[in-house]
Amino acid sequence: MADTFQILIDGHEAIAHEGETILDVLRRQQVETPTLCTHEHLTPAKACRACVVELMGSRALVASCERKAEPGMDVRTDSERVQNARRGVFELLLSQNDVSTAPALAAQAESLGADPGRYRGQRYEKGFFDDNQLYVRDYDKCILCYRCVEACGPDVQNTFALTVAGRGFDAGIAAGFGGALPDSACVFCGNCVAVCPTGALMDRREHNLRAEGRWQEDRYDVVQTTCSYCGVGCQLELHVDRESNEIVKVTSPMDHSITHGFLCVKGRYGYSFVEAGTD
Amino acid sequence: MHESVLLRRQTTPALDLGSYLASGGLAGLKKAREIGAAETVRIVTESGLVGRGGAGFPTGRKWDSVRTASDPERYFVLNADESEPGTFKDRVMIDVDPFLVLEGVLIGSFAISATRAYIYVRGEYRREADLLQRCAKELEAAGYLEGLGPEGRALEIEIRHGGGAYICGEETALFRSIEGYRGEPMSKPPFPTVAGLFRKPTAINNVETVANVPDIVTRGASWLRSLGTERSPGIKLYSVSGNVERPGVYELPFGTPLRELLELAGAHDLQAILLGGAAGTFVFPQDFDMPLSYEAAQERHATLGSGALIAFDHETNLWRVAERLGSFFAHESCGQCVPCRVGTRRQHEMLEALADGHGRGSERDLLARLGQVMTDASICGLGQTASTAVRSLLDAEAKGLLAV
Amino acid sequence: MPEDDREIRERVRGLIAETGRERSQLLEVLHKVQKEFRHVPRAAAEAIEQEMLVPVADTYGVITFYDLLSEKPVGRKVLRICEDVTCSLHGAEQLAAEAEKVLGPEGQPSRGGEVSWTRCACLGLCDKAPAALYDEQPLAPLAPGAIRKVGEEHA
Ligand code: SF4
Ligand code: SF4
Ligand code: FES
Ligand code: FES
Repeated sequence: MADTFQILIDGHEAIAHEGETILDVLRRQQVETPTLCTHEHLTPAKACRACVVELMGSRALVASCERKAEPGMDVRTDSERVQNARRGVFELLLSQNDVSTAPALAAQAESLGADPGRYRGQRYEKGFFDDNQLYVRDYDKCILCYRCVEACGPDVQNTFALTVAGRGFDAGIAAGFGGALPDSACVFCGNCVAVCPTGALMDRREHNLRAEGRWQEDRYDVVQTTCSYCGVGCQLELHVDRESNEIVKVTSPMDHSITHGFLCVKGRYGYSFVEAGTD
Repeated sequence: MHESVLLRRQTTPALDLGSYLASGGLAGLKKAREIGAAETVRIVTESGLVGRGGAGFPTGRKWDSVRTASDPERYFVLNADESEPGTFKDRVMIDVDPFLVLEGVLIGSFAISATRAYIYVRGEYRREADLLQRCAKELEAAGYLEGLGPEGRALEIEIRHGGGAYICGEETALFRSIEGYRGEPMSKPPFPTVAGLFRKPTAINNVETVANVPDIVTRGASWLRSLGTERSPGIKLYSVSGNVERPGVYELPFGTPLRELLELAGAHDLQAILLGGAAGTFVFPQDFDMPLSYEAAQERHATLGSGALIAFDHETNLWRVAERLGSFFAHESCGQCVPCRVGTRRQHEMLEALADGHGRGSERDLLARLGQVMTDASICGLGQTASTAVRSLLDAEAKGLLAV
Repeated sequence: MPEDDREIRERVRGLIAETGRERSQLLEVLHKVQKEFRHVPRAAAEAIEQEMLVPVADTYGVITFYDLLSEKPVGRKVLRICEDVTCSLHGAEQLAAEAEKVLGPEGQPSRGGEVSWTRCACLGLCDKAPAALYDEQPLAPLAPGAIRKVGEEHA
């Protein structure tokens, strides 16, 4: 068994395993911790700072999603400083982003008591890009969590079609040399869409249905199946509209041992042929 | 009167190796070779030299951990990315004595047995980069790099040109920049001495810091300790600008009263100064008697930072100054983390309103609140200190110290 | 005269050959590309991808991060006017206005692509405020007359 040791969380002793992050321990202890950028299969970007905790002896707060637990750490999650910082992060995001398709973000903001009107100023206006058949990019909703860049890059896809461009408030996600997706190295695996926490990246089908006011989560069943395109055996979740019998979206379970939630263009977007048979 | 050490060649700069040698140059390197790396590091540690870039970390301790690291691949990096507003001492240091700076680099590289030395010069300092390049070539041609590298190999020196980004003065961002990436800071720990450039043990030092080294090695640790105060041994360069008659770089032993520096620079009847650069604090005449030392600054919740001092007369609207600082941070934030990326923008917007005189009344409270969020939650020093000056101005205003 | 992409790629390959192929030479290569083409064109990023294995998107991310690199052409000579604290005490604002009058809008090359001007952060020339860099060399203290001279130089 891997080494275990004790750390203190809000004054209570907790067991940590070698290699775990502070967040891992917090989650096991069921200490509710807001997070936005971290993702189980991606390198921690430590960018959003929603998950900060107070580490006694350390001047600034630390990102619990990135910082590894060490023996004897004394961690505070309930202090005034931590709560203020977390609330501040959400208030800053609410002052710039359209969060209409980011229910998780909105819910966390609310439970922290974030005031959406606290800060005013220039909104984040990075534009809407509709330049391919498979997904759209609405960067006004982007919180720069780096997930899509990491999924496209070394963490999953190794395609490197995406980057963060610019600096400061003007920083934003760009494809290729800052142009349209089809002009970049993008292979349309949609793995960036799968990890985007805000709906800034959205499958075309979902986007269209939403635009027409026909996106109704409560009507969709999730059907598990194995992708039949090749022999890898990726697990698919078909989101099927129970009334029209249409597939509205394809995902893969994040905890699946083969896919870890990631697919290729055929598995994610090749579902129209299923429907071709049913129509 | 303090006799110049770092700036001793200011009136007749030694711009070629011949004149550097003729004026006593390279004695420190010679001595370091004689006494060896371990003893060199011991002397530097004992001298009490700490980083002059702003962070104030003990130089000898840094060198010692890299020297004793188990990984044989390790780097020496000279941070010449001077970009803190109001700071120009490293530029002047290089202009008047490039060989002294390089001698410091050579000694440091030798002390840690560096695989290679990188000199990262801010892109706007073309002239200084060219000068260092040429002088390094002269040293190489004359054989002075021989035997400084690992296992007696010659030391390799590479000059790198910054791309125009203040954040690259932050050490981990500087590493990313050398490696060919966006200069986005990484989390510490791990610290550079453990995993720095190319994730290898790295000693990174500021220009002024290394310029101290040759004399420490030749004259001994006690020499530096004979200058300055007990807790701030040695001398410091100050960049003085703004509403003064004689802007420029001044060299003084630690502990010299601020007032003396102001007199040297020809400052009269000031409203305030900004001490320590953009991340520094405003200091008002009631505190002008403070000694310039790390400990005295800390007592007053001020900082010497890089040693920048910008002076303001009574006509200056300090909220306008704060607005300029706010603009600087918003422009220079790397954009990686939310508190800094969005926070510096919101801060600048509010400072603009205050400077223009059409605030909504809530800015002062919000600025203090926002400042706390940025300080606590940002990844690196930029976001963590982007509100320091603003908050010191809020305090001063509450005490009625502002003229306009 | 717009260079043709093949020629750009060829010349960039030459710059890479003289600088080095490791990723850690990227900034040095980009500085040279910028100097030669007054910006970093897409074709250059493509050559960099082939020769240095740096993805086009990465190069784009890097160019847009650093103030001295640009994706759009700037003037053959660039006038950078400091607008930071010390220089603003010494009239930086008026100098920027003068530059706008003489050289046109900020960031846009004028006079057949010869000159452009831009505001910038502290140049480390505060002892000579108000400061500027012109064609990489200090121009400090900067006087309105000097800006007019820059204009006349390329009349
Ligand atoms: S597009 Fe989505 S995944 Fe990418 S950085 Fe923005 S919010 Fe994150
Ligand atoms: S504090 Fe600012 S400069 Fe530092 S990492 Fe965060 S965004 Fe970048
Ligand atoms: S979840 Fe930890 S920094 Fe974003
Ligand atoms: S403030 Fe303009 S050069 Fe420093």
